[in-house]
Amino acid sequence: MQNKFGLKDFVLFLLVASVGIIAALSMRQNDRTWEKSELIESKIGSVEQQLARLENKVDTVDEQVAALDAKIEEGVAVSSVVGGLPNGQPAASNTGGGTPGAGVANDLMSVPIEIKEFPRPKYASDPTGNEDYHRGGVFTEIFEAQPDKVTPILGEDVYGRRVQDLVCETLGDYNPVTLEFEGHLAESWVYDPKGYWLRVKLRDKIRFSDGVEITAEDVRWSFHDYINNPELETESLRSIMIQIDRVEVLSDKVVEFHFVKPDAYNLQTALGFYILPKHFYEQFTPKQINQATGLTMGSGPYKFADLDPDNQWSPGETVVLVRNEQYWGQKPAIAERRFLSMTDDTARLTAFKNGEGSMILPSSPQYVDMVSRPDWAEKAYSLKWLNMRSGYSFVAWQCGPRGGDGAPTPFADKRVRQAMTLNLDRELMVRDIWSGLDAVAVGPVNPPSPAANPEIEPWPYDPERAVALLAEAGWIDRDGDGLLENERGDIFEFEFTRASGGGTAERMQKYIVDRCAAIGIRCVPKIVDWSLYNQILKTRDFDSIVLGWSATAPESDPTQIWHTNSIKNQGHNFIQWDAGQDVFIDKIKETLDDGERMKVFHQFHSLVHEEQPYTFIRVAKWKRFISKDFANVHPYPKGLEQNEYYQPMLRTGN
Amino acid sequence: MGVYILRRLLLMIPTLFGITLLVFLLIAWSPGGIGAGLQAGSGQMDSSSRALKEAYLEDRYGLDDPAIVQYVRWLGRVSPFKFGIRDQVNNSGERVRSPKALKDPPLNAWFIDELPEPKVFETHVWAPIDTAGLEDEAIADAEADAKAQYFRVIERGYSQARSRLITSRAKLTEELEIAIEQLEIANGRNRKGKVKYSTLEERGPLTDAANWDRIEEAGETMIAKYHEAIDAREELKSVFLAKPFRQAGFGVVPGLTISSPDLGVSFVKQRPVSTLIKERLPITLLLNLIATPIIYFIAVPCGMLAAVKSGGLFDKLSGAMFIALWSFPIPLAGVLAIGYLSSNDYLGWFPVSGMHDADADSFTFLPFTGANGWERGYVLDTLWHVCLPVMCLVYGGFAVLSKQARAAMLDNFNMDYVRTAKAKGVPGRDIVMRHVFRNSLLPLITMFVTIFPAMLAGSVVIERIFTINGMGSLTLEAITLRDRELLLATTMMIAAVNLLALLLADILYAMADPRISYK
Repeated sequence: MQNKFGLKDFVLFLLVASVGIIAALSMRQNDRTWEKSELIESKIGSVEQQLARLENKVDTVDEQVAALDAKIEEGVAVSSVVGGLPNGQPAASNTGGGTPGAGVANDLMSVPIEIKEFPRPKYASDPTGNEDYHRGGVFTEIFEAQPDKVTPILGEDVYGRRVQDLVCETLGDYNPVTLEFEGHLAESWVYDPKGYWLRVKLRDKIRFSDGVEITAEDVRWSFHDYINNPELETESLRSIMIQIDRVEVLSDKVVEFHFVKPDAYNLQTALGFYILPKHFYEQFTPKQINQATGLTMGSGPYKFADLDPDNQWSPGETVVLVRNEQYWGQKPAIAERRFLSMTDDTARLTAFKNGEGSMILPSSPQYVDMVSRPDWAEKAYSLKWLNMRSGYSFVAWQCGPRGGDGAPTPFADKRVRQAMTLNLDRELMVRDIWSGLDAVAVGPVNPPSPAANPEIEPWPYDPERAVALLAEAGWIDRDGDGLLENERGDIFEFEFTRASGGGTAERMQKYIVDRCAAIGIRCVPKIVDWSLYNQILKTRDFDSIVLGWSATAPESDPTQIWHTNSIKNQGHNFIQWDAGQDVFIDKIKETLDDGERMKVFHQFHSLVHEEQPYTFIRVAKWKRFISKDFANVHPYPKGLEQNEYYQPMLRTGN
Repeated sequence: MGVYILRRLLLMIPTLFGITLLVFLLIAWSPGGIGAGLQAGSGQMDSSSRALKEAYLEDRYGLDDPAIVQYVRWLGRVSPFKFGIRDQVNNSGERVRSPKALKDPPLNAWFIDELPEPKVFETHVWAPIDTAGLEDEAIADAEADAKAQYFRVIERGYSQARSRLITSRAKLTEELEIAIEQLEIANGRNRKGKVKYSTLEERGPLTDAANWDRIEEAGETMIAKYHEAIDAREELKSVFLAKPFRQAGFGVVPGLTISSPDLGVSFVKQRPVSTLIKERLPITLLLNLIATPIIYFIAVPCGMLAAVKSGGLFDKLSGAMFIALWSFPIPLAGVLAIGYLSSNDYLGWFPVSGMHDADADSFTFLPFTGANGWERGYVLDTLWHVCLPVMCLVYGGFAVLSKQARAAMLDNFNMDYVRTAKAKGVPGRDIVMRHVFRNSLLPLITMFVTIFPAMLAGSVVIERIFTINGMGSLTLEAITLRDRELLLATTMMIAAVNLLALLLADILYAMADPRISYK
């Protein structure tokens, strides 16, 4: 066969070449239309912004006019008028909690009810007056994992929540500095002194990001037809909101919550869920909402630019939020917030150093390494602080019979548990296992929470006292083999359960085994898969187990973890600890007054400290690197407030 | 040949059954069981809240059924042949099923002699709608809307009734748990710590329990809610049978339909499995379709050259280098690549992670020089992003393939026909390219076919380091969280592609080598 280039080959070549050229040309053509549409879109965007600015101005004028009107009509109360009630008396209806409605109403007549009123929220540190203040810029956070979805309430992971928190808002919120619970969308509220109902007035001129006013009906709808809609997969929140019996609309701006029974945490539950736009979500079928990945709309300072269900955000893409130009509150300076995800530690740090990210959560070794570099302070703020979301890790001791019906473990004796704590040098653990960046935990609530008892110091490291306490409890080395025995001659041996795959847990285990061996206790590690933990806790099938609790608020309801009711029914008192704590916990639940409740909390804290059902190991400090391109960066007891940041004029050159 | 292929294809069906059943049983028997990931790390919840949440999830995913029932139900959904009442497809394209049967409430004999029968509903008759002044098409639309709306109302009513039934059952279970603990009933809980109704049934009503009053009350409430729920279900069924939407699939005979398989909804991601795979598969395919040709284009010529100059410097050097690369761990290579090639402190040539720039959506497709200077466009941006992952995928693959090519070439060099060709004076180049190379390609082609299924599976390590949403990480998540639907779907997909690839390899053998036939 000869390789000749014949006519047939030529025709073939021509054909292939022309197809290629046509394809390239059509792509070019496509690109040109694309550019045109981009141009149009950006023009529409700027027109929208101008419109928003105009609207804002109109609002300000409106407010001024209203203020003038008010001055003219002096003498007429312009007070908060919670609920716009006749004669200012809240007319409570039946609570459904078994208390006769008339009784409640009658009681109200005689009890002066405090109306709590809150001014419009302001930034804790207002940057607008700064000389280099400038609006615009992009702030990019790098997550450690991909959120599965960011649709409100359905996206349950911590990353999904971060995004939702910027787009959706709640009626009440914690003050970043004082950690007091204050009204956000709520302007004022009246809370039944007996705790059966709560009446809330929404602020005027609060809008969703599409400009529609937020009404009481949105609040009712969010609770009854979103969270409590059995067709939506909102079970997680639904099952913890069973305390709220119903939400009633009293007027355009006033809603009333009715509780099943009084509880100190009802207020936070009732005011802590997202208020969602009824008019927006009603367009979709439940299935569309269930399967939505980024159908997120609310009244927050940022919004998704595109809310078309066919073009919503989906995992794998960067989450891009744009400033809500119609935001009702103080508008943030940063124009765009982005959220990237990078699963690898090194990749995150590299991206941060390259300027692809404005904020990362460094690992402990990374933090120590970078902070020690001389030029690092110019590049980044290195923040490390305790806040209301700092969780704690601990070793839990089985105080009751193992497995619920087995033999009691040695830890049933309080002195043994104290000895276990005294025998562990937790400062050393924090130094060696967590690079010295965290703090030793003091109890079930830790500073800066007001619920933590300020007088309590963590137990010291004192192995001698530990040995003495063990001897007092009957554990002595009776046969000289180096292991402790009790009166019956049983040696002190226990199982230490930890999850597989964690480097930290492994180091903890090694240290604890060593320390136990040093005082004559045999500690047998048991390593299990994380997915088994739930079952082990439920069946109480462990002697000791290492675990951590995270925190989301300055104080959380201690019932779930500590009350003896949670021993029954496979609740979270999996250590089956029963030392009279119920008195305090019940009182905490009953006490609606914050200051009084804290006092009881402190007593409860002292009891836990004395009893040591857990050995509290460490509180995780938050660690963040934030780029020095941004200013007004402050860590708060509540966390971080990125809405206050701005990119100073000088640094936005590129 | 045709018969052979048909036989092989038919044999695949039982093989697929076997593979999926095995995987399913492995999840079911693993500690924690199916859906273990749903409950792990549920945070601080009091016991009644948690029990309620579990009850909702069990109802939604049928987790409280015996494992084998769950498997058969899954099979029914993925099978293209559907038995029973035909599904329908609503106006927004969602599949609507006839409401599934409700389970008998547990321990009902304690509270009622006989379970109530549901109310009988005739098949619903659609009320005529006002169509005055409407066009024909508009009439059809209005009718469809009215039907859909009516169905929605009834459907919502049923799901609310069912939710109340679940709540009341959870309440009863809570009381029973208290009684089990108080009476210390042996074997009252199964190995997952859940109430074991069979034990209680044998024991008879727990009238000796301190909370019997509350148990009885909860039980009676449950029966009442059950009654409401079965009525609501019957009503919904009657409306469903009146065909509010268009029918799904293709009916063969009444009770048998052929329609597209439904892979279900992932527990953990709460999204349809088919969407998840559609999202991830193209990414994994893209990476592998770039990587595999590179491996072939470098490894095969190197193998050939090594064979021609067998024992020479190039042979030794390339062999050593490829083996060295092959032994270099991928996680380390990935981290080093990011640290040195991506970091602006060093070279900074490549992006750190991901598949596209954050602004890629606003890029043009092709590179472009415009007012803002040169822009790289979507295509180049993607290629630039996949550089490092592809590099990591590629470097370990040279060794095997080049050695394979070299061995095949050497085999052929020693053949008689090569000696004959040399003897009759064919130029050396022609011997290598035209005779030896062509004959040595056969094992490489068949090798590619077997590599293909592995390409679909993705690489967990590389996906993790470069944050790429591929099939590897999806499968890994499905395994660790015991996600029934997701795991079975990926298993089935990979198994099916594997079986097909093996068949293709056999066919290619026969085509390439006339000595092989499958008669």
